[in-house]
Amino acid sequence: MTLNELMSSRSAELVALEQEMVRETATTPKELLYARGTLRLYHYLPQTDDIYRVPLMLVMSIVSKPYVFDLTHGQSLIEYLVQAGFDVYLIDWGTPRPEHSSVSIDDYVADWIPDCISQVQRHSGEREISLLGYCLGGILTLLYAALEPKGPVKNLPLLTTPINSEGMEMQRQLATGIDADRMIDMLGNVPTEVVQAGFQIQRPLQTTAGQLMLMNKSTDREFIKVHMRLVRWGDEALPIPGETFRQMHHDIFLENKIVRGEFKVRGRKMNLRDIRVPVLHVLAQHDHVVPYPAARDVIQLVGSRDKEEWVIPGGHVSVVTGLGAVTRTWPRLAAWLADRSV
Amino acid sequence: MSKEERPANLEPMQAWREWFLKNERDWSESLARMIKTDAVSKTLGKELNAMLYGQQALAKSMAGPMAMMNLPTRAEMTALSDRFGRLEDAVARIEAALVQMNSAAGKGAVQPPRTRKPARKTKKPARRDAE
Repeated sequence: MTLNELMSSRSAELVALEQEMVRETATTPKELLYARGTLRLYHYLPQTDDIYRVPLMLVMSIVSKPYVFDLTHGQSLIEYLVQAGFDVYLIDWGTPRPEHSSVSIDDYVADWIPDCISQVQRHSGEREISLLGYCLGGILTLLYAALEPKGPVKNLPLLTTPINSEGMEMQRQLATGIDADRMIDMLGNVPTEVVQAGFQIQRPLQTTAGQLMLMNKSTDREFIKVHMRLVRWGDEALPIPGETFRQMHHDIFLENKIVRGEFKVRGRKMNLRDIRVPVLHVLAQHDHVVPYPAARDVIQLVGSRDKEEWVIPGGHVSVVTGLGAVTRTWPRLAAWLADRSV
Repeated sequence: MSKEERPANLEPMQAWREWFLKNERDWSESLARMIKTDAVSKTLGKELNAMLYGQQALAKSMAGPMAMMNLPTRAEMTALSDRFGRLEDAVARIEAALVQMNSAAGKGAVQPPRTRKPARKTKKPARRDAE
């Protein structure tokens, strides 16, 4: 075999592996319940003879695609929860287009989340709902719960949710140098490339390390697929609507308004003390995206009596994937939710 | 000797890779500390602004030549992509409406009863005092 033939056959193998990996992603059976603009609300089909009374809606970060919740069979938080008897829904925010540059955090919190909640209420026949937020999705669910403290939220499990920008030194430092207003006025939305660069700069050598690890395990087909899955998810970062980024830049990164109780939604200041429902916050010990100092205030600030914080080993995605998630975090999460979903 | 049979010590690059992987987190943290300074963030901000203005100037200057060559501009391609996006949104609304119609007609996915209870926690037996 010539070198060219060898390289062609290897590259054909990789393409076949990639196609196999894509086919195996987000396979938990679901139906599209509601669509509005780019937003999709999915309902996952029950797989048990009975289900818990209170439905659970997962709210993803706006900068990443939600299939990380349903990576593949055996590595899917959604599959796990459905098989544990939960009635699971998912908000997929979709990819914002230039026409969505005026979308702000207020729209997510005071319009789209309540709209999806009413769809879930209508579909399930239940008024109460648990909201699970991941990362920026956790910020949105926290703000919604503060906006509607007497509303339908029954439980608020959160995964790696940052609220204190003093704990996000890198993001805060970069925010001081960026002229967000000029960028948004010129571009509309913050492009995917800028979002990806923002993630990569927080751990500059991680991509190289990933490629070297791949070379070490070049004969391990399953390892390569796992690696490709996570790289693909990381590469598919989403653009941020301009006005949303403007609020994040000014109000969250620079002025730290959430912890000070000064972040406004539809003109009203949001106070996390108004949240009284059970709150669980799962954090990762070596999370370079949401360091512990950026997230620990959640449990301290909410007004709930029933509140817990777990710090698990691993990085930012270890709460939603990996052996530790499957064997330890998810069973604990399911048990916590089960007690509060009857 | 196949690759799998070759002992690890005949692959010096593997040793280098493992050394890199072992130290990557510390090196990344050191680099991140260097980046987290006013000087670097201001420089990055200036570079971003320069890139934005450069992109804008290039788009303006290329508009004429691209029209002469009958080639679409980035703005035109983006507008086309937006139209596809809106079409996808419309299809999704139709799909969701069909799901809801099916559900209303009793033909949708069966919803099990909402009667599930958490597994009972087994009580740990009381410790026997030492005899």
